[in-house]
Amino acid sequence: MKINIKNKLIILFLSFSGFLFAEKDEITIPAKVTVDPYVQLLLTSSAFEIDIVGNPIDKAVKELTPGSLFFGSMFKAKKHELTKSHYSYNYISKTDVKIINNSKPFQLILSIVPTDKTGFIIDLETLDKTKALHIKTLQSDSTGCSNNIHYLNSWKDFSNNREIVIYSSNGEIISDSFSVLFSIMNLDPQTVAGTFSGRIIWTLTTKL
Amino acid sequence: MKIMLHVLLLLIISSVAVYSLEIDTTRIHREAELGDVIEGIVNVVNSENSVSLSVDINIEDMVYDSTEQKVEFKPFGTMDNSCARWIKINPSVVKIPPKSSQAVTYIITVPQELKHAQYFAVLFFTTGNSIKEVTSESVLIGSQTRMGVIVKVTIPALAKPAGKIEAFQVIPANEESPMKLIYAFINKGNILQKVFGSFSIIDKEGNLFGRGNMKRGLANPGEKITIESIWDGDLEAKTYDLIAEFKYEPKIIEIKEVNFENQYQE
Repeated sequence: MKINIKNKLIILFLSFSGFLFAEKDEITIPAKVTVDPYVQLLLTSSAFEIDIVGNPIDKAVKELTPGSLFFGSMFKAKKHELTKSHYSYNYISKTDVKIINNSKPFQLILSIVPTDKTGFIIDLETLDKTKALHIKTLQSDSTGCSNNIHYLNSWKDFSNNREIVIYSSNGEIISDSFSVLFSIMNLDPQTVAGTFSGRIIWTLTTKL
Repeated sequence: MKIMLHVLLLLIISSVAVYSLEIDTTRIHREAELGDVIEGIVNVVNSENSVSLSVDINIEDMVYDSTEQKVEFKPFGTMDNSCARWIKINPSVVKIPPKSSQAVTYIITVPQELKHAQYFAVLFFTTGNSIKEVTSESVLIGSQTRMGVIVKVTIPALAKPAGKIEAFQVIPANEESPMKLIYAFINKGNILQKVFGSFSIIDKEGNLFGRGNMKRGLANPGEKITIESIWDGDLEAKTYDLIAEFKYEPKIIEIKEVNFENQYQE
């Protein structure tokens, strides 16, 4: 089949257009944090629309502001089952984490800080009386350090001091990758009202 | 067409925002005399090509949770063994253009009189908050990254390290789990103790079948810790000796020997 120069340019244009729209479906927000020559942490965030049982749908609900995880007023208020986890939001937020060349023990901690005293997402009343913001880690790649990754494949709510250690290294020289999913779950529609905000802080520190 | 492709490429690039934070110091562990002044620099680097970086530097307290074996951060100056109030940072906010760096100076002034032999704090280098204010949205959760630089000041003249391995146990592998090595250590001194353990597995003839390191354990003064490690090497079903070596301050090496029967073989 013959393809002339004009057709080639049209195909090229369509390819770029497709790539551009694909970018809109999954918005990535990388944040690279480097600690001396020994440790490097790469964070890339994206958002996925989910169905009623939490499976990702191939479509994003809204562009993320760089550094944001949740936004908007899109609570799911239709399905409430006291016996199982209920996704209170139309999407989950996912951050891909990559750690390379670590030769000192360190820990990666996630914590939540309220923006002000009046609104704080994890203090919202939930159906099962646990915190609203849940996380779980998914192992996507490993060099034998899966023991360092905490809360693999199961949802976990934040502890009372509003922080979770999600990765703890003993000083192995590694290159490890995993994902962290964030979901707002089990909100009680009778008590949810007003505006709620806060920040998630990724803290990387060497151990003592 | 060429111009259109360039525009498309620019749109694609501009749809991804990149934050980059790099610091060249991860820990400030110093020994000092009463009244000493310790000075140093932490270089903050923005290695990205196009995005300026705003970094706040603040000081908090920290404690070590021996049970969970992890660091916990506390508000500035609230802990009894905090050195947060001794530390001056300059500047406390840096704005770094792309492909640039800026030095942050710290000065730690040790008081003339002290109660403890060891003091702690943490310097946080935090990227700017992208969520500045609550909008009309009902839920708004932002994300930030920060690096913690642990500050530990030890006063050797006051330090009296001491400790003891109180128990050491080997649980041979079974169908459900690999071999476990469990040690209990008590810190009898007045500084934080780090315990390093290694082991060798030999048979009655002295043949070496395996060796490895146990998980490091940290214990606060007066506290007892129990640390469990696993070893997933293969062993034939017979009797072995496991010789463990533990190291802690003041340059103590403690040897423990355990005889065990391995009945499970993969």
